[in-house]
Amino acid sequence: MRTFVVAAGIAVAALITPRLASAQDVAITNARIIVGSGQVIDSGTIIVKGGKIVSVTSGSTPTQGLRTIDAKGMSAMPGFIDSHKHVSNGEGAAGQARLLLEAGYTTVLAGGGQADTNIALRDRIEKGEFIGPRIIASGQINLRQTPAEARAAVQALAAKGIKHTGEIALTPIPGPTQAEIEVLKAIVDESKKVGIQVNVHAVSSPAMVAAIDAGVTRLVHIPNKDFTTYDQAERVAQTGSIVAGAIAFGAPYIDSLSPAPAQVQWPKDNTTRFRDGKPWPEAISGANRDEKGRALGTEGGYSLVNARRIWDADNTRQLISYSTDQNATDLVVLEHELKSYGVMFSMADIHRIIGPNAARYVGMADQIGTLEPGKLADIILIDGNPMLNVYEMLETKVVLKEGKVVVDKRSTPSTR
Amino acid sequence: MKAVLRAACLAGALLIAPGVSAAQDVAITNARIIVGSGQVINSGTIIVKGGKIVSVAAGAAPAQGLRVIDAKGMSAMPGFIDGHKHVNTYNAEQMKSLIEAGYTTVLAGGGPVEQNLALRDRIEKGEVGPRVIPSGQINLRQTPAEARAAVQALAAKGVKHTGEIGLTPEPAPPQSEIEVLKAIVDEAKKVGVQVNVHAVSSPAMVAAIDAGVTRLVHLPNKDFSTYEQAERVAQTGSIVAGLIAFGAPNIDTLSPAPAAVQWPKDNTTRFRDGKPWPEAIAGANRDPKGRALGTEAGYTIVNARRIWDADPNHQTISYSTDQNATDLVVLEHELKSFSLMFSMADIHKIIGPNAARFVGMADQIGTLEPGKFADILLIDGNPTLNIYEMLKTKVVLKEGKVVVDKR
Repeated sequence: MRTFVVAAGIAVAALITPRLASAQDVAITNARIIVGSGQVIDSGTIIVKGGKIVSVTSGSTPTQGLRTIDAKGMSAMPGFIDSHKHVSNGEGAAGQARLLLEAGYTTVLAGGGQADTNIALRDRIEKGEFIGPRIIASGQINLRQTPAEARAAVQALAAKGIKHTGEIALTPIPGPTQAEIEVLKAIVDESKKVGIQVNVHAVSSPAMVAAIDAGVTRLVHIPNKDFTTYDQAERVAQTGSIVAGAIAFGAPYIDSLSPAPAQVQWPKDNTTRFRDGKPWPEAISGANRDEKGRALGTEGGYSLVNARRIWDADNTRQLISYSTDQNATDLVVLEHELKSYGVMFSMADIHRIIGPNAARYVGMADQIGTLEPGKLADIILIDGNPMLNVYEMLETKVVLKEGKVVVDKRSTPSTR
Repeated sequence: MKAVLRAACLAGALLIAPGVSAAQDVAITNARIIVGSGQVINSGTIIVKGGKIVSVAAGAAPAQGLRVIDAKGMSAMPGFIDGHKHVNTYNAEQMKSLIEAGYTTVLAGGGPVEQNLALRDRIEKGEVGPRVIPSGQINLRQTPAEARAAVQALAAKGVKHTGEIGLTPEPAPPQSEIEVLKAIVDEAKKVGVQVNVHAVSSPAMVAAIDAGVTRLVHLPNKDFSTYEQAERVAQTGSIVAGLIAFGAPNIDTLSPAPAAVQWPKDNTTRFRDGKPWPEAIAGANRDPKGRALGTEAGYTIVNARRIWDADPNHQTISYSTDQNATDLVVLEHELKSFSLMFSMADIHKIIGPNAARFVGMADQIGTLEPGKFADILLIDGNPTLNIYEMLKTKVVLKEGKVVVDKR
C-alpha cells in the first residue's frame, strides 16, 4: 500500500498542475476522524472531490490523482460553526475573517446588523477578495414598529435572498411585553411564508418560552437570568427548538492574550474582565444585579446549568448549539466558550454541539456539520486529539473550505 | 554564598553513605519553577537538603554531591494539598493513586480519630502515600459539655483538627447546633485544635463564622452568596475550601482500576458515586415536584469567585475534593470548574499556599521556597497554560524523597 501511495504521488506531480488539482480534489490520509455524529475513526482517509466529501473510511483508500495531505498525528473534524456572531464589513473585516478561519470556523451566521453589510461581507469572501468563513447573511428587524411594518421588513429581507433575521431582542425581566410579542408574531408569520428563519435573543427563561409560544424555534443565547425549569426545557424540546450557546457569557476573561488584530486585548493583570475588556462583573451587559445595584456575575452559573437542563429534555440531543455572540475574533473566544461546555458535557457532545447541531441551527444540516459523504468539504485538521479535552480543539493547523486548503499552518509550532 | 554551598555539598558527599544522601539531597535542574506565590521561573534549579528546600533560583546552581534530576521540559510545582478528603483506613491503592496524582498532603475529612492516626503513622513509617493530617469526628448531637470533653480528648491525642462538623444548610442551622458548635470552638481555641465545618448554604456558612469558625470545608452550593456574606468570610480571615465541582456531572470519565468509582463510558451524566446525575446528588437542590436540579454546579462557581474577590489578598478560597475516589479524575473534575472563574496563577495559589494555610501548615508547605518541606512535583507539561497540564505529574518528592518516578 505504501508503494501504491508513493506511485500515486509521483503521478500527480507529473500530470496535473499542482494548484488547480489541489484546490478541489484532496485525500486526507492517516487522520483520526471525528465524524461529528458521534463516530470516531482512529485512523482513516477522507476523499474530497469537487469541494464535497466523497468518502470517509478507516484505513487507506486509493488516492490516485488527488492531492494527498498526510494527517498523521492529527485529527480531522468538521469545520466549526458559529450560529450567532457579530461580524463586520468595516476596516478590520479581512483580519477578523482570517482569524476566524484560522481558529477553525468555516461557517458563521451573522448576528444582526444591516442586511446589505452582511451580504457585502459574504460576497467579498465568496469572490475570494480575502479568506474567511462562509458568512450566512442576516438582516436586522426591529420590534419597535407596527406589525405591518415588521411584515414589510421581512418581505424586504426575502427580496434580497436572505434566509435569516438578525437577533430580535425580547425584554428578559419580567418578560417580553405584549407589544413585543404582537410584532414578533407578525414577523414569525410573515417569515414562514417567505422561508426566513427568525432568530431571537431571549436571555431569561420566561422570555425564551414566550418566544417559543410566539412560534420562534431558534434562540441565539442560553438563558442567563434564572435557572430554567424542567417544564421550560420541555417546551424547547416539544417544539424542536434550538438554543445556541453563549454559555460563557457571564464567565470572566482573565489574562487571555489575543493575537492582533483582535478588537479586545485582555491585560495580563490577573483581574477579571468582561468580553469588552472592562472589569467583571460590573461591565456585563444587562448584568444581574443585587438590590444595591451591584452586578453579580451569576450569569455564568445560570447558563452552565441551563445548557444541560435543556439538552437533557431531548433524547436526540439536538436542542443546544454553539454561538459566541462576540465580535472578538480569535481562539480566546473559542476557548472561553468550550471551557464552560467542558464542565457539563462530554467531548463527544461538544463536537455535536459545534458540528451537526450548529449546522441544524443555521439551516444547513444537510450540507455541513459532519464529515459524511455528500457534505461540503469543510474540514479542519487539528494537531491534537479533541476527544481528550477542549484545549485540544484549539490547535487547528489546516482548514479546508469546500475542499480548498485556505489555511495551512503545519510549519508553525503548536502552543503545547 | 555559592562557595559555602559548594563546600557543604562536598562535605555531604564525602561523609554520608550514598543511598541515604541520595534520598534526601537533590538538585532539580532545568525546571520551569512554579513557586506557588505567583512567581514563575522559566528555567531554574531547586536544591533540596535534609528534606527541605535550600534554594530556588533561576539558571544553574552548583549541584556537586547531590542527586541531580534533570527536569528539562518539565515544570516543578509544590505538591498538591487537599484540604478535605475522606481517608480513613490504609488503602494502598488509594494512597498510591493520590501520591501519583501529585497530592503530598491530605487533611483527613473526618471519621474515627484512631483510624486517622493509624493511617498517618503507617505512612510516616514508610508506606507509600501523601502526608495525612489526622482529624477526629466531633458530633453536634451532644451537650456543649460533652462536646468540650470530646475536643479535649482529641487534643490529648495530639490531633489538631476536628473532622467536618455538619450544620443544617436550610433554612439555616438551628440554635441547638450553634450552641454546641460555639462550645467546640471555644474549647478548641484553648487547646489549639482547628474546627472544620461543613456548611453548604450561605446562611450556614455565615452562622458558622458568627460562631467563631474560620475553616469551611465546602463552598456554599444551595444559593448564591451575597457580597455581604462574602465580606464576612474576608473580615474574619476565614477560608472556604473548594469542592467547586460538587454539582457538576462526571461523564465518560475513565478511572484507572482499582478506583473506588468507575464511571461507565455511556455518555451519561453521573454523580461522583456513579449514579445518575442530578438525581443522585447528595442533599440535592430540588424543585417543587421533588426533582433534583443540579443547580449546585452553578452556585459554587460564582460563589468561589465572589468570596475570592472579597479579599484583596486572595486567601479566602482553598482546595478540597471531599471524595473518596482516588485518582486524577477527581483532580480534573475540580480543576475544570475552577478554570471557568480563575486564572492558572490563582488556581496554583488555591491548591498551594491557600490550601497550606487551610490545613495549618502555611510555613511548611504550599510553595517552593527555601525553608519549606521539599514536597515537589515534576510535571511533564506547562501548568501555566491550562489545567490539563496539571494532570501530568511524573515525579513526586515528599520531604525530599523521590516517592514517585514515572519518567
